[in-house]
Amino acid sequence: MHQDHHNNWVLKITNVISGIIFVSLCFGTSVALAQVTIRGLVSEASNSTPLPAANVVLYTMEGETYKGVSTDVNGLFIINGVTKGSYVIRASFIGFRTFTDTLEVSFFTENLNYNILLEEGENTLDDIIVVEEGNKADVDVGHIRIDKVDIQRVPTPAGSGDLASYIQTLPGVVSTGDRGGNLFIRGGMPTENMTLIDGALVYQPFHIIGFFSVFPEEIVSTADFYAGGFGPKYSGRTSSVLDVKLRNGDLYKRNFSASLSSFLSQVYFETPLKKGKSSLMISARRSLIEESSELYGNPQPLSFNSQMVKLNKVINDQGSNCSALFMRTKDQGKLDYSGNDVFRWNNLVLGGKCVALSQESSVPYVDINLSISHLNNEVGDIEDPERQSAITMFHTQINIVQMISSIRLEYGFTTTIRWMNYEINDYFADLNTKRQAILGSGAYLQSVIPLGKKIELKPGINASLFLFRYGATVDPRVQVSYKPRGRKDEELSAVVGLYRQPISGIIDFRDAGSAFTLWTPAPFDGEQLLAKHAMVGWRQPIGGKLSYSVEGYMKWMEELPVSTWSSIAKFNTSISVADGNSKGVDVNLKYNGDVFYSTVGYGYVITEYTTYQELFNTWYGVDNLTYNPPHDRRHQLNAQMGFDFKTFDLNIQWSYGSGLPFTRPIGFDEYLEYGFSQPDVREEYGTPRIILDRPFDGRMPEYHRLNVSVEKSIDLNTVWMKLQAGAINTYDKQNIFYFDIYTQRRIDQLPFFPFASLKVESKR
Amino acid sequence: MTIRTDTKANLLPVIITALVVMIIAGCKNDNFDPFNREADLHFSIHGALDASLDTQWIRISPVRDDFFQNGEAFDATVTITNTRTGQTVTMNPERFSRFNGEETVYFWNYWTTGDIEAEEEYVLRVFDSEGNESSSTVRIPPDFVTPTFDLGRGDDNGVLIGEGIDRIVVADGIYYLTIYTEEGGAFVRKEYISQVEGENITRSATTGLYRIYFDDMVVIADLYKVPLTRIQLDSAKIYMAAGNDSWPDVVNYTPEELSLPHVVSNIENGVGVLVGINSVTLPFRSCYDQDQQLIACEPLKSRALIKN
Repeated sequence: MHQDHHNNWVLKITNVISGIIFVSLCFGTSVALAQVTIRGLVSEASNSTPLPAANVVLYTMEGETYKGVSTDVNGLFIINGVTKGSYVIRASFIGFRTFTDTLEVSFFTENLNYNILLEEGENTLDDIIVVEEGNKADVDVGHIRIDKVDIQRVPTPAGSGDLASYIQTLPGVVSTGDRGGNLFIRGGMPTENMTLIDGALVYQPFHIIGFFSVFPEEIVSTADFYAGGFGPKYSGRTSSVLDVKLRNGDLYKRNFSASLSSFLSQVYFETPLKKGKSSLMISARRSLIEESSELYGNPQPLSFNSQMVKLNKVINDQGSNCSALFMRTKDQGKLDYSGNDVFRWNNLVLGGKCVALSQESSVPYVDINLSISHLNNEVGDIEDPERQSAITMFHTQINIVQMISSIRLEYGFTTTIRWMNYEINDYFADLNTKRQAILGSGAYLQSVIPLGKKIELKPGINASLFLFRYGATVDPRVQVSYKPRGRKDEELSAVVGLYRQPISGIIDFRDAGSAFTLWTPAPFDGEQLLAKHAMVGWRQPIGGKLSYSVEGYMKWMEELPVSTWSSIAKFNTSISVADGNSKGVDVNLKYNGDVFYSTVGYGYVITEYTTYQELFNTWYGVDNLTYNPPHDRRHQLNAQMGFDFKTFDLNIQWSYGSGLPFTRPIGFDEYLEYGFSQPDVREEYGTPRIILDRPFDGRMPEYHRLNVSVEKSIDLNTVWMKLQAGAINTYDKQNIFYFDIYTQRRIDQLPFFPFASLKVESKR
Repeated sequence: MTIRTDTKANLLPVIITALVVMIIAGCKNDNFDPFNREADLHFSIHGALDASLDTQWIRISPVRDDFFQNGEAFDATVTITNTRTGQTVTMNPERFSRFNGEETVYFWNYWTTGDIEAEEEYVLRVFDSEGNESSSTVRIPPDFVTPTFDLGRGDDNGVLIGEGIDRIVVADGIYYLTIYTEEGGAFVRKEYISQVEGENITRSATTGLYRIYFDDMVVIADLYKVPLTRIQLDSAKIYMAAGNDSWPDVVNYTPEELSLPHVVSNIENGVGVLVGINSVTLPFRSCYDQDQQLIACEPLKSRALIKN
């Protein structure tokens, strides 16, 4: 009954969206006469990497603004409805020299292709123009676009910034500690987050030391982070998407960097293979904290290494190119330093991507992605792991952008095959099938429909089918944005959508010190994980350099796998199903000056799960229990500031998080069972028992930490030498990671941990 | 340009103040105590007050922070009070230890030779010097006539027949066995087979007579996966106990539920189970008078018959 109601609801929404797209296409086609569309890619001149969110503005010859747009996630811009005449075209992006040219538009062609290459350097526009054409203006609710500068500004104990450190400064992103690599986004589970690297999935992108991911600043071009409400292009996850676009290697000159810090060593190298035509980029990292922490007398048995190679080939001067990617990672360590469990995981990603741009067709942009993603993770004795789980996915996707008059259509097709296997020694009692495969295919369609100059509607649907596993599903998603004054950086936007996930990543959150994930098809009644998102947000600049945004959101989640409660101290557990919801508000205030910059973000969220378990009626007198799961961090505040004065950089970051829920023990005893026979108290020890309070009724202490780094850049003619010093947890706050109640041991996060780094990099 | 300078001038003191506040705040580290100290559960109590025994043994442990007890004595006084007479006896602690395969674990039982009388009510109190107290009140079932046991002729089946018990809470066949393996080896075992769990008890609604059927060798053979011919019964006895509502009714609960502290507990401000029983232990054989009439055997360990 519930399912029927749900299907009807989806059907109705889908019909409405299909109708909107159809009517818009008819209407749009009829009015689109005698106007020219200018379109093209904005890319880095040195390496052809597309630049999302670059501003492209047409001015009249009298200097008045005629039309302006931002490039999309592919670096593509499309300016519709341009009438015949002469214009000045200007393209800008922070960190690049502004491009300016004159453009003659005639009616001889319907589509005018105009690719733009931007060169790195100081932006020559004055301050006011920069604000009006703000770098990250054209993003919607739930979406943040991250670039290299953002990543650099977060104190990171290494020669380079890291995307992982940045992501954790965002409100709504909860980390349960500085190790383990699990992030909870707006109430979702870590295994419900999707991380893409040039279109290829990375199952576990965050390293065992929480500051680091597989994304150092050198290799990242841009990253689009969707805390929810993402469009129909993304499928297979129910919580968030982190879509990272890598740089291409330089097509004209060799660049390198090498750094050494007390946390890790890192090398980066890029070189043209054939000048102007193809390039190679290599990045490799290895952690050093295991070795350096011994010197501090505070051993941290955590290590990782990763390698990444990217080949890029320019196909033609219209912006078409192909790239190939190889990436592998290896993480290993003990989250509980004195325990016996060693966690290990390996990622392997092989990817290929081709982008084609057409001058003549109404289809200006096509990209094709092929990838293989693999994760193996295990826990236990290092020689003989007790549990192991692996997943491999082969994925193909075609993305197409098509213009029908002023209506932009984005659609695509995808096919995936996933193989999963595990050996868990009955750890999860309900999971018996050890090898499984899922074959799935899907398609998506999204339309961008301008309704006048101030309102934009983005209806979309995602359809998928998994053979022999789940029925066909259609998930509608709609986004609407309103720019009351027509400014790109001032917008009220809202999004609603339905999201499904065909596989579950099961983590035993009875044990906070666990990083083992078992990947399996959805374990409950053949139902995929399901989430509904609803978000609304407002953002606005205040003056020239200050801006703020406020977002409210709700997520409803179904079919969540959670561990079954037990009062008996035991190794294994059963899996129960839970439904959940998260409701919260994120507020961001940002000051972005030339010398001083600061960001303050505050997130408030209530996350609740409701689950049915057999014991509850006996235990609490109710069939269903609602509780706050262990990642329900109610308040989160992050303040970050920095000074960038000539060759000095100072970055300070303070973060605060209210206490996380945990199930309080009342105590231990051994119980003797009086039932069908009588125990002999002199002979029998009994069964050790933990007497627990209501699930997750307690709160751990609040968390806060101050990280500081100062960097001096020294010009050595052909290279920069960068010296950095800083400290993690500068005032040595004891932040709890978890408490092992069985052994009475408290495991803390990193204490005061000074670091220094030396980095040498070639001048670009 | 002017705006920028003003902003910086205004922000700098704010930043410095914020930093100082943060550092001061950071100096105060938390003293995290994960245990819920508000919960009013002080002691764990398990055991039986048995009118048929001359010594009572009760397991007492504090609801503690450690998974295993360290063997050291803890602050507890244990008393048993007859609620009718007010007579109170104080129990004596005795430490026990067992090796659980990995380490030696300790536990404490409290004992007394004070009288426990049938049909009387007793309060067992456990309290410490800080005023924390757990207690339980149980009534002892009436004495009953020692039942007769008929082993039958030529096999191991037997039936126990008796009367005067409202609720039989335990009826165990206790077997001392030698089991011979196919490889020619042998090992000795002691097995308890519950007839209550096996639902081998019938009761006459008119006469109040109950019958308990013992047919456990098949069960034992199945347990060890050997034919009956490889099992040698060295000796056996029957233990049965009369109980009342202090004995937990476990039929409707799963083992998981039974482990929950509140499900079958009758301990106030504590956890565990204290039961009042009246028991008898009989030889696994038939006894006859000089006229070859079946009679009750002399109990192996009981005061019930003595009183009768």
